[in-house]
Amino acid sequence: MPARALTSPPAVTVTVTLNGEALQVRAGTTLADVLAQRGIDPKSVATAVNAEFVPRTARAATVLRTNDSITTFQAIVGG
Amino acid sequence: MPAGPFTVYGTQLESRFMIGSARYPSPQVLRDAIAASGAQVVTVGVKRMLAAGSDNGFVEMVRASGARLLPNTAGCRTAREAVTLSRMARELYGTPWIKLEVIGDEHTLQPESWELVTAAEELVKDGFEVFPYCTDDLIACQRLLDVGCRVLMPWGAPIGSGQGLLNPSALRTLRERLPEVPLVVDAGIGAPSHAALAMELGFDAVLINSAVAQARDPVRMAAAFARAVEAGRLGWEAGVMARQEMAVPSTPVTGRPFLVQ
Repeated sequence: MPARALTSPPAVTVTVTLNGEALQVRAGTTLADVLAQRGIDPKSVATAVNAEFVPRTARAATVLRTNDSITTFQAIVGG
Repeated sequence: MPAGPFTVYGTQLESRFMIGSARYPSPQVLRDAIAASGAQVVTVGVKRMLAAGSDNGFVEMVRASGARLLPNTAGCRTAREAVTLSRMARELYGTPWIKLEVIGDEHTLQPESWELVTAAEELVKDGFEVFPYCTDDLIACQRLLDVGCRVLMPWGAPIGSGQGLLNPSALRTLRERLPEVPLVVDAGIGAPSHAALAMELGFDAVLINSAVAQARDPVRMAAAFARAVEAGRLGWEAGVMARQEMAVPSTPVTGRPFLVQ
């Protein structure tokens, strides 16, 4: 039996949403990665995943899973 | 002779006019209105982003004013929502101050006192300095103090309605029963005279947004409110005379001027 050729495993992606828009991201992608990929200034937004606040300091350790819903919040005027 | 300062959460404020930053026709008008108001505290908000976009520079204008920022939790209906939004506001604005709003009715935007107390308790434990937007109900106000709020912001009338102080008697009761607590009338003030009345009742400050932003000339109106707030406060400090049911002659005449009938 010939040895099987070594191949890299197929890229696994997960589907998440960012402010309601569906995104395909590689498995292992973090919340910080998504913000960077989308060109969002990390200091200009506050973030939540599945309606739970994710502090700025925790974004790089927050690995996204299938169907995660990311929401970003911004500073606005207010009364 | 300026009115004396007051202190909230250890911060001394000379201005007793807090101003909101929403609904102005342009960032420049907002900037000029803040300057004309003399306000040292400006309220701001936090919004879920539906799409990438800027706010046309309004928030930068507020930051540049140098005023202390007081972020709110507008739009929240539950304690859980309000606590989450508060944590976001703290991160975005870098302040432990939070104007806590939890609304219970869509039409009047009346505060939901039970959720408000629950949220306030959790936020105080988390290190926030909570400014609760509340009703003028004395017991609800006491519960907010019980859980650690050190200032109260009862409504004068529904938000944005401009109706003035609908229940001066309840506000007077709050002042009398809570003499040591900083009290700020928030919401419903429409005219400078409403603000003056709030200050004459002994409130420590007023928070005004729509009445300034929606005026034909917001900058001039900010100046008008600044004077009304100052006048009302000076009136309170000076002590308003007691009401009399009947006339009391003010000129010290000696009897009638002519003795001849």
